[in-house]
Amino acid sequence: MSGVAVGVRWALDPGWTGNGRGDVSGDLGLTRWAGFSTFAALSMRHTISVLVENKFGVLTRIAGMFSGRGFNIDTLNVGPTLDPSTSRMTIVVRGDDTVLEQVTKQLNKLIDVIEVQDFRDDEFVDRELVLMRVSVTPETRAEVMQMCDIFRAKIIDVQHRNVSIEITGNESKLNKFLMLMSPFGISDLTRTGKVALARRSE
Amino acid sequence: MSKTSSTQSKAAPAAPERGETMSGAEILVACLEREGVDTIFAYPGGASMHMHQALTKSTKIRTFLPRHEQGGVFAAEGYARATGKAGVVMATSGPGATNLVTGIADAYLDSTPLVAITGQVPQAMIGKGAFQETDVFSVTAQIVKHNYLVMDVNDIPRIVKEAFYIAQSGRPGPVLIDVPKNIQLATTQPVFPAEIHLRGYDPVKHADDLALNEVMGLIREAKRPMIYCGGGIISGEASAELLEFAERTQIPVSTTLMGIGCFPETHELSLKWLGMHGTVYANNAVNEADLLLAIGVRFDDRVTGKISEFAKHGTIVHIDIDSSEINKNKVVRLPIQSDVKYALNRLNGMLEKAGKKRVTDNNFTTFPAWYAQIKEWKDKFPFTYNDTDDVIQPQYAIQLLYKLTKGDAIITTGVGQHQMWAGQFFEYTEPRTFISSAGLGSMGFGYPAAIGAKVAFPDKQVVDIDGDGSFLMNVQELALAYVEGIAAKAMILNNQWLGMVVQWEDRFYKGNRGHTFLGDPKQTYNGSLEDPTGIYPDYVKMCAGFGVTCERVMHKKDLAGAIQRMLDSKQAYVLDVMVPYTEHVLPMIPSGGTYKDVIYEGRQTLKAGSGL
Repeated sequence: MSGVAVGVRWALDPGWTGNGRGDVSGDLGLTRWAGFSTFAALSMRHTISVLVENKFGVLTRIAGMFSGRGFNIDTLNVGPTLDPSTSRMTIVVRGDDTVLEQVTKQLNKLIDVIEVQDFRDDEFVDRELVLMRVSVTPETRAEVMQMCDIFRAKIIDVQHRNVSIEITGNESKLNKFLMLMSPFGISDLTRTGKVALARRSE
Repeated sequence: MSKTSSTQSKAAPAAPERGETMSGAEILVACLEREGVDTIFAYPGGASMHMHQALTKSTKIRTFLPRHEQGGVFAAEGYARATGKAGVVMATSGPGATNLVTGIADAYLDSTPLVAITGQVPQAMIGKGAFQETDVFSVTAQIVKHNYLVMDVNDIPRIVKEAFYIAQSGRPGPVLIDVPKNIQLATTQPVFPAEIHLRGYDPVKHADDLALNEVMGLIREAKRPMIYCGGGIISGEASAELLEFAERTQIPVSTTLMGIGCFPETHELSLKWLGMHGTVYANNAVNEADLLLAIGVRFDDRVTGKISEFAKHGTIVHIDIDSSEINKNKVVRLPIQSDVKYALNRLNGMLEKAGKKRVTDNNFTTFPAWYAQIKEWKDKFPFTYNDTDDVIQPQYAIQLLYKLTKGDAIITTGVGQHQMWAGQFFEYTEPRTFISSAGLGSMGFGYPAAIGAKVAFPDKQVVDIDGDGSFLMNVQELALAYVEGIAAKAMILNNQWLGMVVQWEDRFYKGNRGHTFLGDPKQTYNGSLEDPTGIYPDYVKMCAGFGVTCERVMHKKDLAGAIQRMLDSKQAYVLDVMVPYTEHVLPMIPSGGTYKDVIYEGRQTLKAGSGL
């Protein structure tokens, strides 16, 4: 499916969201989950952190470079840094080492890119935040709340037929939680994409 | 991989300079003057006329009015390719700016230093679908080295300085500056910065000696070494260093199409150029070399054919200033990111220390078996064609032009068969004398580029070798040449067809013609040497309309005299040389093929749709 597509796929993994709208029904979610595992094995995912000038059009340049050269962004997160003149982007990109080498070089070639860090293995910590709305009934509400407890997720809004949940964690924790929530029915969700920080002793 | 902050100016910090109060447009022109700009190709419009008003007051900049923005940008490219300095072009917003796009993309692919300035609708109108509004920043983002949308009149001096620096340093390329009209009108007291601070850009790249020592070792062990060099040698101004390197190592040299002229083709070690329509001997030698020194090249598909098979058995060393070119198309054994001039200089120093003297008398002895093999290929596969008694073959016309100019000319070309023949049947000995749209392959490039080159070098003979299809694409620039008195010449090899596509139709589509006829279907020229009826369009009449002399040549015996008259003319001049459309450019390696698939002669049909 979209693994070979050119372009920016914001924050949505293909496995469990199916049609990309996030309205997967419960049991379908599990099927998709299995699909996702197979898919993930096809190409490696890398996390790169890009320090950029906080200037007009910088996102256009970066997003355009990815689409123009046929690279695939899994997630992209942008935010300010301590220095107001710079922003940091955390990009999860899919591809083998050759692709990653080109991505890094092409990013470095952009005048507004100050620094590119390619995170590997244990050199970094990463987190992602997900907000989601899960359907509940009087019978299932308690179970959902219990799972939130176990995963240290927060319920941030309660309606008659659904609850809104905030959860933070690394990829495997979030995927596990999403898998467990799927049978109840995730009616909507939004993800920040991964943010990462290098581990450094100094 | 990280880039460090850097200050580009090496001298002691100079103080910025404050100017008098003036408008944004005037500041822009003052900045161009400070960059040493003497020539600009500019077509005015509502959103750029304020800048034109400022240009009229400049005594240092000569403004040329092209008759189409595309002609303007190609002329700026011609100027840049001939001089090495950034070409400058200006256009208005919307259609003016979008008409520049092909030229900007062209400059991007051929690494041509170019500064394009566009007017933009006033800031308050941006995004409103205003008259002649286009988001040219986004449109060009992927075909520029960098671009700017000016948001504050006070930024103009910094932006212009950065633009020229970025365009001309490292691997050169196009930079676009989009200037909203209200910014052009706003007044301020400009501060001209003395230094540039771009923490994300450090173009100074020098090879380390360890890697270069490795190259020395590889050369020592090589039995069949080859140099494959390209446009990087020309942009890096490294021709002299390359010649010295070749003469010290005694390694044969083949260039790319972009590299034509970076190494004298008349030199004993030259194998001319390689690739799809390059010499058989260059392709053989590069592919059978045991050591391939790739310098200032990018392993383009028109050079390599099937990339996995290219130079498969050789050790490849790749020296280039742009790290992203390394391992992009071809993974190499020894990648070296460096300014090629620096690297070749260092290598020459090492060779001298190692006692490798420069051989300038053509008495090359280091690789005798290899030279013998190359000689055998050279003798067996020269560039050739079947000449005719009275009909003018296009290759003959180019050979004759070479003879009559003695090679002392700047040649520009359009795109197609004539472009390849201009590369094959003319010998180039100096860099910046073959100016052609190689990477993008933009038809219509030739004549405006000739104008740009002629403006830069008024005392040099500049001839556009063109096809009838390509020439027609920017024929309106005859007006620029006529009005400004620019003696750019054009020799059209007129076969009434889109020759290169016809050739591919013959080879891959059983000769079925898909809209490749450029003449008049109602009254087709029958190829007669006596009766010109049906030749369409009539370039003689068309040129007359522009006030430019054009002579049509049908007979071979008339050609030498006609070319001489063209060369002697002190004005723009067009030769309309009628040639048969049946000629094919050979040799030819079908795309996606290897050097072994080369077609040297004959007309065999190939499988349809084999690649691009």
